[in-house]
Amino acid sequence: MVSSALDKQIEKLLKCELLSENEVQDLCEKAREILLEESNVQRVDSPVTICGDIHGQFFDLKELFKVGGNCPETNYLFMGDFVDRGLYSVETFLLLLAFKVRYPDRVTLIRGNHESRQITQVYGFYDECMRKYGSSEVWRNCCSIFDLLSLAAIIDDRIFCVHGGLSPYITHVDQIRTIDRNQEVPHEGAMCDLLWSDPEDIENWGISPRGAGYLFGENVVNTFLYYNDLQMIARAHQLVMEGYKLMFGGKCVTVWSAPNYCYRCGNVASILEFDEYLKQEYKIFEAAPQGTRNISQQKSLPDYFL
Amino acid sequence: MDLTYKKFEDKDSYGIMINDWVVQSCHKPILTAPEIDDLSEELGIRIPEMIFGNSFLVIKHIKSGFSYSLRASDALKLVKKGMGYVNEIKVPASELWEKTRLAKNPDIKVINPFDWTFSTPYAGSPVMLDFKKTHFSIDYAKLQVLEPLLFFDKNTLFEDDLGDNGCSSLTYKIRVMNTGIFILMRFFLRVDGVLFRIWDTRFYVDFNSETLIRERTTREETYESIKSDLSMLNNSDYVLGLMDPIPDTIKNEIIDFSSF
Repeated sequence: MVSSALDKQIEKLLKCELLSENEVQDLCEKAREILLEESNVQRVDSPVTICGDIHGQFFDLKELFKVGGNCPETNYLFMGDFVDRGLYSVETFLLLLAFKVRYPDRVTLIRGNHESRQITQVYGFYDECMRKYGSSEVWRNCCSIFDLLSLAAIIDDRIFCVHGGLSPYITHVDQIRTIDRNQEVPHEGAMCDLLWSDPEDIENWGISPRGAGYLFGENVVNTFLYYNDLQMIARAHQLVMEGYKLMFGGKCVTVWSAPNYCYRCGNVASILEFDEYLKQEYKIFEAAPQGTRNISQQKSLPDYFL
Repeated sequence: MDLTYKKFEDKDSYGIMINDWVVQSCHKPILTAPEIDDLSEELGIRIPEMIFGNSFLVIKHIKSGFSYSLRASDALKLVKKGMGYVNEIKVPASELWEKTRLAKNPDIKVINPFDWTFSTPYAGSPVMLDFKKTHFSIDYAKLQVLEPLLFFDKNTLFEDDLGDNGCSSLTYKIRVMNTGIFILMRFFLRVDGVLFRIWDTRFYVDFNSETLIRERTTREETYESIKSDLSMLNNSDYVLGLMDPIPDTIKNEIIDFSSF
Protein backbone atom coordinates (compact mmCIF):
# COMPACT_ATOMS: atom_id res chain seq x y z
CA MET A 1 0.00 0.00 0.00
CA VAL A 2 1.53 3.33 -0.99
CA SER A 3 1.29 6.10 1.53
CA SER A 4 -0.89 8.26 -0.67
CA ALA A 5 -3.61 5.60 -0.66
CA LEU A 6 -3.15 5.24 3.06
CA ASP A 7 -3.33 9.01 3.53
CA LYS A 8 -6.64 9.00 1.67
CA GLN A 9 -7.92 6.29 3.98
CA ILE A 10 -6.83 8.27 7.02
CA GLU A 11 -8.60 11.31 5.58
CA LYS A 12 -11.77 9.27 5.16
CA LEU A 13 -11.54 7.79 8.63
CA LEU A 14 -10.96 11.20 10.18
CA LYS A 15 -14.31 12.18 8.72
CA CYS A 16 -15.80 9.06 10.33
CA GLU A 17 -16.39 7.45 6.93
CA LEU A 18 -16.14 3.71 6.56
CA LEU A 19 -13.44 2.00 4.55
CA SER A 20 -14.49 -0.71 2.14
CA GLU A 21 -14.01 -4.34 3.17
CA ASN A 22 -11.11 -4.60 0.74
CA GLU A 23 -9.46 -1.52 2.13
CA VAL A 24 -9.81 -2.95 5.64
CA GLN A 25 -8.21 -6.17 4.52
CA ASP A 26 -5.29 -4.32 2.92
CA LEU A 27 -4.83 -2.19 6.00
CA CYS A 28 -4.86 -5.25 8.27
CA GLU A 29 -2.31 -7.07 6.10
CA LYS A 30 0.03 -4.13 6.27
CA ALA A 31 -0.55 -3.79 10.03
CA ARG A 32 0.16 -7.48 10.51
CA GLU A 33 3.65 -7.08 9.00
CA ILE A 34 4.43 -4.22 11.34
CA LEU A 35 2.95 -5.74 14.49
CA LEU A 36 4.62 -9.11 13.97
CA GLU A 37 7.96 -7.31 14.28
CA GLU A 38 6.98 -5.71 17.57
CA SER A 39 7.83 -7.25 20.88
CA ASN A 40 5.41 -8.19 23.67
CA VAL A 41 6.82 -5.28 25.61
CA GLN A 42 7.23 -2.45 23.18
CA ARG A 43 10.03 0.10 23.80
CA VAL A 44 8.85 3.68 23.54
CA ASP A 45 10.90 6.86 23.77
CA SER A 46 9.76 10.05 25.45
CA PRO A 47 8.26 12.52 24.84
CA VAL A 48 5.07 10.51 24.53
CA THR A 49 1.40 10.99 25.29
CA ILE A 50 -0.39 8.03 26.80
CA CYS A 51 -4.10 7.37 26.50
CA GLY A 52 -6.50 5.02 28.24
CA ASP A 53 -9.75 3.43 27.12
CA ILE A 54 -11.47 4.92 24.05
CA HIS A 55 -14.34 2.42 23.58
CA GLY A 56 -15.51 3.43 20.13
CA GLN A 57 -16.20 7.05 21.08
CA PHE A 58 -14.88 8.35 17.78
CA PHE A 59 -15.84 12.00 18.13
CA ASP A 60 -14.33 12.08 21.58
CA LEU A 61 -11.13 10.60 20.16
CA LYS A 62 -11.02 13.61 17.85
CA GLU A 63 -11.32 15.82 20.94
CA LEU A 64 -8.37 13.89 22.34
CA PHE A 65 -6.30 14.78 19.27
CA LYS A 66 -7.35 18.43 19.62
CA VAL A 67 -6.00 18.47 23.16
CA GLY A 68 -2.99 16.22 22.64
CA GLY A 69 -1.96 17.23 19.14
CA ASN A 70 -2.21 15.46 15.83
CA CYS A 71 -0.49 12.31 14.73
CA PRO A 72 2.45 12.16 13.86
CA GLU A 73 3.42 15.48 15.49
CA THR A 74 2.58 13.92 18.85
CA ASN A 75 3.98 10.51 19.75
CA TYR A 76 1.07 8.43 21.07
CA LEU A 77 0.75 5.32 23.18
CA PHE A 78 -2.76 3.88 23.45
CA MET A 79 -3.26 1.37 26.24
CA GLY A 80 -6.09 -0.66 24.74
CA ASP A 81 -9.88 -0.93 24.81
CA PHE A 82 -10.33 0.82 21.49
CA VAL A 83 -13.60 -0.95 20.75
CA ASP A 84 -17.00 -1.88 22.27
CA ARG A 85 -19.58 0.24 24.08
CA GLY A 86 -19.41 3.33 21.85
CA LEU A 87 -21.11 3.72 18.50
CA TYR A 88 -18.01 3.95 16.30
CA SER A 89 -15.70 1.11 17.26
CA VAL A 90 -14.99 0.32 13.60
CA GLU A 91 -13.92 3.84 12.66
CA THR A 92 -12.03 4.32 15.93
CA PHE A 93 -9.95 1.16 15.70
CA LEU A 94 -9.27 1.48 11.98
CA LEU A 95 -8.18 5.11 12.36
CA LEU A 96 -5.71 4.17 15.10
CA LEU A 97 -4.55 1.20 13.06
CA ALA A 98 -4.12 3.36 9.94
CA PHE A 99 -2.02 5.80 11.99
CA LYS A 100 0.02 2.85 13.23
CA VAL A 101 0.68 1.66 9.68
CA ARG A 102 1.40 5.15 8.37
CA TYR A 103 3.58 6.25 11.31
CA PRO A 104 4.74 3.05 13.01
CA ASP A 105 7.32 4.83 15.15
CA ARG A 106 4.91 7.51 16.34
CA VAL A 107 2.03 5.33 17.45
CA THR A 108 2.04 2.39 19.86
CA LEU A 109 -1.05 0.30 20.42
CA ILE A 110 -1.22 -2.21 23.23
CA ARG A 111 -3.97 -4.71 23.82
CA GLY A 112 -6.89 -4.22 26.18
CA ASN A 113 -9.25 -6.88 27.45
CA HIS A 114 -11.87 -5.75 24.95
CA GLU A 115 -9.57 -6.59 22.04
CA SER A 116 -10.91 -10.13 22.14
CA ARG A 117 -13.30 -12.25 20.07
CA GLN A 118 -15.35 -13.29 23.04
CA ILE A 119 -15.77 -9.85 24.61
CA THR A 120 -16.50 -8.00 21.36
CA GLN A 121 -19.38 -10.37 20.64
CA VAL A 122 -21.09 -9.31 23.82
CA TYR A 123 -20.22 -5.62 24.15
CA GLY A 124 -20.90 -4.20 20.71
CA PHE A 125 -18.02 -4.35 18.22
CA TYR A 126 -19.17 -7.52 16.49
CA ASP A 127 -22.71 -6.19 16.06
CA GLU A 128 -21.44 -2.87 14.82
CA CYS A 129 -19.40 -4.66 12.12
CA MET A 130 -22.43 -6.71 11.11
CA ARG A 131 -24.60 -3.61 11.00
CA LYS A 132 -22.16 -1.51 9.02
CA TYR A 133 -20.82 -4.17 6.63
CA GLY A 134 -23.49 -6.84 6.65
CA SER A 135 -20.86 -9.51 7.24
CA SER A 136 -18.36 -10.46 9.89
CA GLU A 137 -15.29 -10.14 7.64
CA VAL A 138 -14.14 -6.82 9.08
CA TRP A 139 -14.61 -8.12 12.61
CA ARG A 140 -12.58 -11.24 11.75
CA ASN A 141 -9.79 -9.16 10.25
CA CYS A 142 -9.71 -6.85 13.26
CA CYS A 143 -9.66 -9.77 15.70
CA SER A 144 -6.64 -11.28 13.98
CA ILE A 145 -4.94 -7.91 14.47
CA PHE A 146 -5.95 -7.85 18.15
CA ASP A 147 -3.99 -11.09 18.62
CA LEU A 148 -0.84 -9.34 17.43
CA LEU A 149 -0.99 -6.24 19.63
CA SER A 150 1.77 -5.82 22.20
CA LEU A 151 0.89 -6.62 25.80
CA ALA A 152 2.79 -3.78 27.43
CA ALA A 153 5.18 -0.92 26.73
CA ILE A 154 8.04 0.67 28.59
CA ILE A 155 8.88 4.35 28.18
CA ASP A 156 12.60 5.20 28.45
CA ASP A 157 13.16 2.03 30.53
CA ARG A 158 11.33 3.80 33.38
CA ILE A 159 7.55 3.80 32.94
CA PHE A 160 5.70 0.50 32.60
CA CYS A 161 2.46 0.78 30.63
CA VAL A 162 -0.17 -1.94 30.48
CA HIS A 163 -3.93 -2.10 30.09
CA GLY A 164 -4.91 -3.79 33.37
CA GLY A 165 -1.98 -4.28 35.69
CA LEU A 166 0.45 -6.73 37.22
CA SER A 167 0.40 -10.51 37.52
CA PRO A 168 1.71 -12.72 40.32
CA TYR A 169 3.35 -14.80 37.58
CA ILE A 170 5.45 -11.83 36.49
CA THR A 171 8.21 -10.52 38.69
CA HIS A 172 10.53 -9.47 35.88
CA VAL A 173 9.51 -7.72 32.70
CA ASP A 174 11.51 -10.30 30.75
CA GLN A 175 8.95 -12.91 31.73
CA ILE A 176 6.38 -11.02 29.68
CA ARG A 177 8.63 -11.27 26.66
CA THR A 178 8.37 -15.06 26.70
CA ILE A 179 4.56 -15.14 26.40
CA ASP A 180 3.19 -16.34 23.06
CA ARG A 181 0.83 -13.41 22.61
CA ASN A 182 -0.58 -14.37 19.23
CA GLN A 183 -3.82 -15.83 20.59
CA GLU A 184 -7.23 -15.00 21.98
CA VAL A 185 -6.91 -13.57 25.50
CA PRO A 186 -6.84 -16.63 27.78
CA HIS A 187 -8.99 -16.91 30.91
CA GLU A 188 -6.04 -17.51 33.17
CA GLY A 189 -2.33 -16.82 33.44
CA ALA A 190 0.02 -13.91 32.99
CA MET A 191 -1.36 -12.64 29.69
CA CYS A 192 -4.85 -12.55 31.15
CA ASP A 193 -3.70 -10.74 34.30
CA LEU A 194 -1.86 -8.01 32.39
CA LEU A 195 -5.10 -7.14 30.63
CA TRP A 196 -7.48 -7.56 33.54
CA SER A 197 -6.02 -6.95 36.99
CA ASP A 198 -6.78 -3.88 39.10
CA PRO A 199 -4.87 -1.95 41.76
CA GLU A 200 -6.53 -1.96 45.17
CA ASP A 201 -5.80 -0.45 48.57
CA ILE A 202 -4.37 -3.66 49.97
CA GLU A 203 -0.82 -4.59 50.86
CA ASN A 204 -0.05 -7.48 48.57
CA TRP A 205 -2.11 -9.67 46.26
CA GLY A 206 -5.80 -10.34 46.46
CA ILE A 207 -8.40 -12.15 44.44
CA SER A 208 -11.54 -10.48 43.25
CA PRO A 209 -14.70 -11.72 45.00
CA ARG A 210 -15.76 -12.93 41.52
CA GLY A 211 -13.41 -15.84 41.99
CA ALA A 212 -11.23 -14.79 39.05
CA GLY A 213 -9.02 -11.75 38.54
CA TYR A 214 -6.20 -10.41 40.69
CA LEU A 215 -6.04 -7.25 42.73
CA PHE A 216 -2.58 -5.83 43.41
CA GLY A 217 -1.57 -3.61 46.29
CA GLU A 218 1.14 -1.10 47.08
CA ASN A 219 3.84 -3.58 48.12
CA VAL A 220 3.37 -5.49 44.89
CA VAL A 221 3.87 -2.31 42.89
CA ASN A 222 6.92 -1.25 44.90
CA THR A 223 8.54 -4.67 44.52
CA PHE A 224 7.86 -4.81 40.80
CA LEU A 225 9.26 -1.33 40.27
CA TYR A 226 12.33 -2.12 42.38
CA TYR A 227 13.16 -5.43 40.63
CA ASN A 228 12.80 -3.89 37.21
CA ASP A 229 14.40 -0.54 37.97
CA LEU A 230 11.22 1.28 37.02
CA GLN A 231 9.68 4.47 38.28
CA MET A 232 5.96 4.05 37.74
CA ILE A 233 3.11 1.98 36.34
CA ALA A 234 0.58 3.59 34.01
CA ARG A 235 -2.57 1.66 33.21
CA ALA A 236 -6.14 2.14 32.01
CA HIS A 237 -9.09 -0.28 32.39
CA GLN A 238 -11.09 1.52 35.10
CA LEU A 239 -13.52 4.40 34.69
CA VAL A 240 -12.56 7.47 36.71
CA MET A 241 -14.83 10.51 36.97
CA GLU A 242 -11.80 12.86 37.06
CA GLY A 243 -10.11 11.24 34.01
CA TYR A 244 -7.14 9.88 35.98
CA LYS A 245 -6.38 8.55 39.41
CA LEU A 246 -3.00 8.32 41.14
CA MET A 247 -2.49 5.61 43.74
CA PHE A 248 0.28 4.32 45.99
CA GLY A 249 2.01 7.65 46.41
CA GLY A 250 1.95 8.34 42.70
CA LYS A 251 3.58 5.04 41.70
CA CYS A 252 0.52 3.81 39.83
CA VAL A 253 -1.83 5.84 37.71
CA THR A 254 -5.08 4.97 35.96
CA VAL A 255 -5.64 6.99 32.79
CA TRP A 256 -9.15 7.07 31.33
CA SER A 257 -9.74 8.65 27.90
CA ALA A 258 -13.44 8.13 27.18
CA PRO A 259 -15.30 11.28 28.28
CA ASN A 260 -18.97 10.91 29.21
CA TYR A 261 -18.44 7.15 28.99
CA CYS A 262 -21.25 5.32 27.22
CA TYR A 263 -22.64 8.79 26.47
CA ARG A 264 -24.11 9.01 29.95
CA CYS A 265 -21.58 8.84 32.80
CA GLY A 266 -20.80 12.56 32.83
CA ASN A 267 -17.08 11.98 33.50
CA VAL A 268 -14.17 13.92 32.01
CA ALA A 269 -11.29 12.14 30.27
CA SER A 270 -7.55 12.63 30.36
CA ILE A 271 -4.32 11.89 28.58
CA LEU A 272 -0.92 11.85 30.22
CA GLU A 273 2.03 13.58 28.58
CA PHE A 274 5.54 12.57 29.54
CA ASP A 275 8.14 15.10 28.37
CA GLU A 276 11.74 14.14 27.59
CA TYR A 277 12.54 14.29 31.32
CA LEU A 278 9.49 12.12 32.06
CA LYS A 279 7.80 15.02 33.77
CA GLN A 280 4.05 14.28 33.83
CA GLU A 281 1.31 16.53 32.61
CA TYR A 282 -2.30 15.42 32.68
CA LYS A 283 -4.52 17.02 30.09
CA ILE A 284 -8.24 16.87 30.75
CA PHE A 285 -10.85 16.94 28.03
CA GLU A 286 -14.59 16.66 27.74
CA ALA A 287 -16.93 14.92 25.34
CA ALA A 288 -17.40 16.34 21.86
CA PRO A 289 -20.19 18.91 21.64
CA GLN A 290 -23.47 17.22 20.77
CA GLY A 291 -23.70 18.83 17.34
CA THR A 292 -20.63 17.03 16.06
CA ARG A 293 -21.46 13.75 17.66
CA ASN A 294 -23.92 12.70 15.08
CA ILE A 295 -26.18 10.91 17.49
CA SER A 296 -29.32 12.11 19.08
CA GLN A 297 -29.04 12.53 22.82
CA GLN A 298 -32.55 13.73 23.40
CA LYS A 299 -34.43 12.42 26.37
CA SER A 300 -35.54 8.84 26.12
CA LEU A 301 -38.75 8.27 24.22
CA PRO A 302 -41.75 7.62 26.43
CA ASP A 303 -43.18 4.13 26.40
CA TYR A 304 -46.09 2.38 28.04
CA PHE A 305 -43.93 0.00 30.05
CA LEU A 306 -45.60 -2.36 32.49
CA MET B 1 -61.79 14.51 39.64
CA ASP B 2 -60.40 17.89 38.69
CA LEU B 3 -56.79 17.36 37.87
CA THR B 4 -54.25 20.02 37.19
CA TYR B 5 -50.58 19.40 36.84
CA LYS B 6 -47.45 21.43 36.51
CA LYS B 7 -44.15 20.23 35.14
CA PHE B 8 -40.83 21.62 36.25
CA GLU B 9 -37.27 21.21 35.09
CA ASP B 10 -33.81 22.39 36.10
CA LYS B 11 -30.28 21.56 35.03
CA ASP B 12 -30.24 17.99 36.36
CA SER B 13 -33.80 17.07 37.08
CA TYR B 14 -37.30 16.83 35.72
CA GLY B 15 -40.49 16.71 37.68
CA ILE B 16 -44.21 17.05 37.83
CA MET B 17 -46.72 18.15 40.46
CA ILE B 18 -50.06 16.46 40.15
CA ASN B 19 -52.98 15.83 42.48
CA ASP B 20 -51.21 16.07 45.89
CA TRP B 21 -48.14 14.35 44.51
CA VAL B 22 -44.73 15.68 43.52
CA VAL B 23 -42.41 13.60 41.39
CA GLN B 24 -38.78 14.49 40.77
CA SER B 25 -36.25 12.51 38.76
CA CYS B 26 -32.64 13.64 38.98
CA HIS B 27 -29.80 12.70 36.61
CA LYS B 28 -26.27 13.40 37.85
CA PRO B 29 -22.86 12.20 36.64
CA ILE B 30 -21.14 9.23 38.26
CA LEU B 31 -19.54 9.86 41.66
CA THR B 32 -16.08 11.41 41.95
CA ALA B 33 -13.16 9.30 43.20
CA PRO B 34 -13.33 10.77 46.76
CA GLU B 35 -17.10 10.19 46.86
CA ILE B 36 -16.56 6.60 45.73
CA ASP B 37 -13.89 6.06 48.41
CA ASP B 38 -16.23 7.41 51.10
CA LEU B 39 -19.17 5.32 49.96
CA SER B 40 -17.01 2.22 49.65
CA GLU B 41 -15.75 2.71 53.18
CA GLU B 42 -19.26 3.31 54.50
CA LEU B 43 -20.75 0.27 52.81
CA GLY B 44 -17.76 -2.05 53.09
CA ILE B 45 -17.98 -3.21 49.49
CA ARG B 46 -16.41 -2.26 46.19
CA ILE B 47 -18.66 0.21 44.38
CA PRO B 48 -20.10 -0.60 40.91
CA GLU B 49 -18.15 0.80 37.98
CA MET B 50 -20.89 3.21 36.98
CA ILE B 51 -22.29 4.61 40.18
CA PHE B 52 -24.86 7.34 39.79
CA GLY B 53 -24.87 7.98 43.53
CA ASN B 54 -26.28 11.50 43.27
CA SER B 55 -29.10 10.57 40.93
CA PHE B 56 -32.48 9.70 42.39
CA LEU B 57 -36.20 9.45 41.93
CA VAL B 58 -38.44 10.81 44.64
CA ILE B 59 -42.22 10.89 44.91
CA LYS B 60 -43.89 12.85 47.70
CA HIS B 61 -47.45 12.90 48.95
CA ILE B 62 -47.92 16.47 50.15
CA LYS B 63 -50.83 15.97 52.56
CA SER B 64 -49.34 13.04 54.50
CA GLY B 65 -45.68 14.01 54.33
CA PHE B 66 -44.93 10.57 52.90
CA SER B 67 -42.02 10.41 50.52
CA TYR B 68 -40.42 7.56 48.69
CA SER B 69 -37.09 7.65 46.95
CA LEU B 70 -34.95 5.36 44.88
CA ARG B 71 -31.21 5.77 45.49
CA ALA B 72 -28.15 3.73 44.60
CA SER B 73 -26.48 4.13 48.00
CA ASP B 74 -29.51 2.74 49.86
CA ALA B 75 -29.74 -0.11 47.36
CA LEU B 76 -26.08 -1.05 47.80
CA LYS B 77 -26.46 -1.13 51.60
CA LEU B 78 -28.48 -4.32 51.10
CA VAL B 79 -25.80 -6.16 49.13
CA LYS B 80 -24.62 -9.16 51.16
CA LYS B 81 -21.14 -8.92 52.62
CA GLY B 82 -18.88 -9.80 55.52
CA MET B 83 -16.02 -12.14 56.37
CA GLY B 84 -18.31 -15.14 56.71
CA TYR B 85 -19.97 -14.43 53.41
CA VAL B 86 -19.32 -17.02 50.73
CA ASN B 87 -20.30 -16.17 47.19
CA GLU B 88 -22.83 -18.55 45.78
CA ILE B 89 -22.11 -17.31 42.29
CA LYS B 90 -18.72 -17.60 40.63
CA VAL B 91 -17.71 -16.76 37.11
CA PRO B 92 -17.09 -19.76 34.87
CA ALA B 93 -13.36 -19.08 34.75
CA SER B 94 -13.08 -19.37 38.53
CA GLU B 95 -12.81 -23.15 38.56
CA LEU B 96 -9.78 -23.12 36.28
CA TRP B 97 -8.53 -20.21 38.28
CA GLU B 98 -8.87 -21.89 41.62
CA LYS B 99 -6.90 -24.90 40.41
CA THR B 100 -3.94 -22.98 39.03
CA ARG B 101 -3.92 -20.47 41.83
CA LEU B 102 -3.89 -23.13 44.53
CA ALA B 103 -1.06 -24.87 42.74
CA LYS B 104 1.03 -21.76 42.23
CA ASN B 105 -0.11 -19.04 44.61
CA PRO B 106 -1.81 -20.73 47.57
CA ASP B 107 -1.36 -17.67 49.82
CA ILE B 108 -3.45 -15.29 47.79
CA LYS B 109 -6.91 -14.91 49.26
CA VAL B 110 -10.18 -13.36 48.23
CA ILE B 111 -10.25 -9.77 49.42
CA ASN B 112 -13.24 -8.41 51.27
CA PRO B 113 -15.86 -10.97 50.30
CA PHE B 114 -19.18 -9.51 49.25
CA ASP B 115 -21.85 -10.34 46.73
CA TRP B 116 -19.96 -9.09 43.67
CA THR B 117 -23.13 -9.40 41.57
CA PHE B 118 -24.52 -6.45 43.59
CA SER B 119 -27.81 -8.36 43.93
CA THR B 120 -30.01 -6.15 46.07
CA PRO B 121 -33.54 -6.75 47.39
CA TYR B 122 -33.87 -2.96 47.64
CA ALA B 123 -37.43 -1.78 47.09
CA GLY B 124 -37.05 1.94 47.72
CA SER B 125 -36.55 4.20 50.72
CA PRO B 126 -39.83 5.24 52.37
CA VAL B 127 -40.17 8.15 54.81
CA MET B 128 -43.09 8.63 57.27
CA LEU B 129 -45.32 5.74 56.27
CA ASP B 130 -44.58 2.13 55.53
CA PHE B 131 -46.23 -0.54 53.47
CA LYS B 132 -48.68 -3.16 54.73
CA LYS B 133 -49.31 -6.55 53.22
CA THR B 134 -52.32 -6.67 50.96
CA HIS B 135 -54.30 -9.03 48.80
CA PHE B 136 -54.84 -6.21 46.33
CA SER B 137 -52.67 -6.11 43.29
CA ILE B 138 -51.72 -3.51 40.71
CA ASP B 139 -54.52 -2.89 38.23
CA TYR B 140 -52.72 -3.74 35.00
CA ALA B 141 -55.90 -3.43 32.96
CA LYS B 142 -55.96 0.23 33.87
CA LEU B 143 -52.28 0.59 33.02
CA GLN B 144 -52.83 -0.88 29.60
CA VAL B 145 -55.10 1.99 28.61
CA LEU B 146 -53.05 4.28 26.41
CA GLU B 147 -53.74 7.47 28.30
CA PRO B 148 -51.66 10.56 27.53
CA LEU B 149 -48.30 10.40 29.31
CA LEU B 150 -47.97 13.65 31.21
CA PHE B 151 -44.49 12.74 32.37
CA PHE B 152 -41.98 10.02 31.49
CA ASP B 153 -38.40 9.37 32.49
CA LYS B 154 -35.92 6.57 32.85
CA ASN B 155 -32.60 6.49 34.62
CA THR B 156 -29.80 4.25 35.80
CA LEU B 157 -28.77 4.16 39.46
CA PHE B 158 -25.83 1.82 39.03
CA GLU B 159 -24.38 -0.48 36.43
CA ASP B 160 -21.38 -2.79 36.40
CA ASP B 161 -20.13 -5.16 33.73
CA LEU B 162 -18.75 -7.51 36.40
CA GLY B 163 -15.31 -7.35 34.85
CA ASP B 164 -16.83 -8.22 31.48
CA ASN B 165 -18.48 -11.27 32.93
CA GLY B 166 -21.98 -9.94 32.39
CA CYS B 167 -24.02 -7.07 33.66
CA SER B 168 -25.56 -5.92 36.92
CA SER B 169 -27.75 -2.85 36.90
CA LEU B 170 -30.39 -1.01 38.86
CA THR B 171 -32.62 1.21 36.75
CA TYR B 172 -36.00 2.84 36.96
CA LYS B 173 -38.74 4.05 34.65
CA ILE B 174 -41.61 6.30 35.59
CA ARG B 175 -44.75 7.43 33.80
CA VAL B 176 -47.44 9.75 35.06
CA MET B 177 -50.95 9.73 33.63
CA ASN B 178 -54.16 11.52 34.56
CA THR B 179 -55.18 8.50 36.60
CA GLY B 180 -51.98 7.67 38.42
CA ILE B 181 -48.23 7.28 38.72
CA PHE B 182 -46.48 4.08 37.67
CA ILE B 183 -42.87 3.24 38.47
CA LEU B 184 -40.77 0.20 37.62
CA MET B 185 -37.45 -0.25 39.37
CA ARG B 186 -35.45 -3.19 38.07
CA PHE B 187 -32.42 -5.03 39.32
CA PHE B 188 -31.07 -6.93 36.31
CA LEU B 189 -28.25 -9.45 36.52
CA ARG B 190 -26.54 -11.47 33.83
CA VAL B 191 -23.57 -13.61 34.72
CA ASP B 192 -22.30 -15.06 31.46
CA GLY B 193 -22.47 -18.82 31.42
CA VAL B 194 -24.21 -18.89 34.81
CA LEU B 195 -27.56 -17.15 35.30
CA PHE B 196 -30.00 -14.29 34.84
CA ARG B 197 -31.90 -12.48 37.58
CA ILE B 198 -34.65 -9.92 37.25
CA TRP B 199 -35.88 -8.49 40.53
CA ASP B 200 -38.62 -5.98 39.77
CA THR B 201 -40.35 -3.55 42.08
CA ARG B 202 -43.45 -1.85 40.66
CA PHE B 203 -45.29 1.04 42.29
CA TYR B 204 -48.68 2.25 41.28
CA VAL B 205 -50.28 5.31 42.78
CA ASP B 206 -53.95 5.18 41.89
CA PHE B 207 -55.37 8.70 42.13
CA ASN B 208 -58.89 7.33 42.21
CA SER B 209 -58.56 4.92 45.14
CA GLU B 210 -55.79 7.02 46.74
CA THR B 211 -53.59 4.03 47.31
CA LEU B 212 -50.02 3.13 46.51
CA ILE B 213 -49.48 -0.52 45.73
CA ARG B 214 -45.99 -1.97 45.61
CA GLU B 215 -45.43 -5.27 43.84
CA ARG B 216 -42.13 -7.08 44.13
CA THR B 217 -41.28 -10.03 41.94
CA THR B 218 -38.17 -12.11 41.55
CA ARG B 219 -37.16 -14.25 38.63
CA GLU B 220 -34.04 -16.31 38.12
CA GLU B 221 -33.07 -18.64 35.30
CA THR B 222 -29.94 -20.42 34.24
CA TYR B 223 -27.90 -18.96 31.43
CA GLU B 224 -28.51 -21.98 29.21
CA SER B 225 -32.26 -21.67 29.47
CA ILE B 226 -32.25 -18.24 27.80
CA LYS B 227 -31.52 -18.90 24.15
CA SER B 228 -30.71 -15.72 22.30
CA ASP B 229 -28.37 -13.61 20.27
CA LEU B 230 -25.53 -12.51 22.54
CA SER B 231 -26.11 -8.86 21.70
CA MET B 232 -29.67 -8.95 23.04
CA LEU B 233 -28.62 -10.17 26.45
CA ASN B 234 -28.03 -6.64 27.76
CA ASN B 235 -31.68 -5.82 27.16
CA SER B 236 -33.60 -6.73 30.30
CA ASP B 237 -37.02 -6.38 28.64
CA TYR B 238 -35.94 -8.85 25.99
CA VAL B 239 -34.57 -11.30 28.56
CA LEU B 240 -37.73 -10.95 30.63
CA GLY B 241 -39.73 -11.98 27.56
CA LEU B 242 -37.74 -15.23 27.43
CA MET B 243 -38.19 -16.01 31.12
CA ASP B 244 -41.03 -17.90 32.74
CA PRO B 245 -43.95 -15.44 32.91
CA ILE B 246 -44.77 -16.72 36.40
CA PRO B 247 -42.29 -15.13 38.83
CA ASP B 248 -40.45 -17.19 41.46
CA THR B 249 -41.80 -14.92 44.18
CA ILE B 250 -44.38 -12.16 44.28
CA LYS B 251 -45.28 -9.83 47.12
CA ASN B 252 -47.91 -7.07 47.20
CA GLU B 253 -48.01 -4.26 49.74
CA ILE B 254 -50.13 -1.16 50.09
CA ILE B 255 -50.31 2.32 51.60
CA ASP B 256 -53.73 3.93 51.84
CA PHE B 257 -53.75 7.71 51.54
CA SER B 258 -57.51 8.18 51.55
CA SER B 259 -57.61 9.29 55.23
CA PHE B 260 -55.28 12.24 54.62
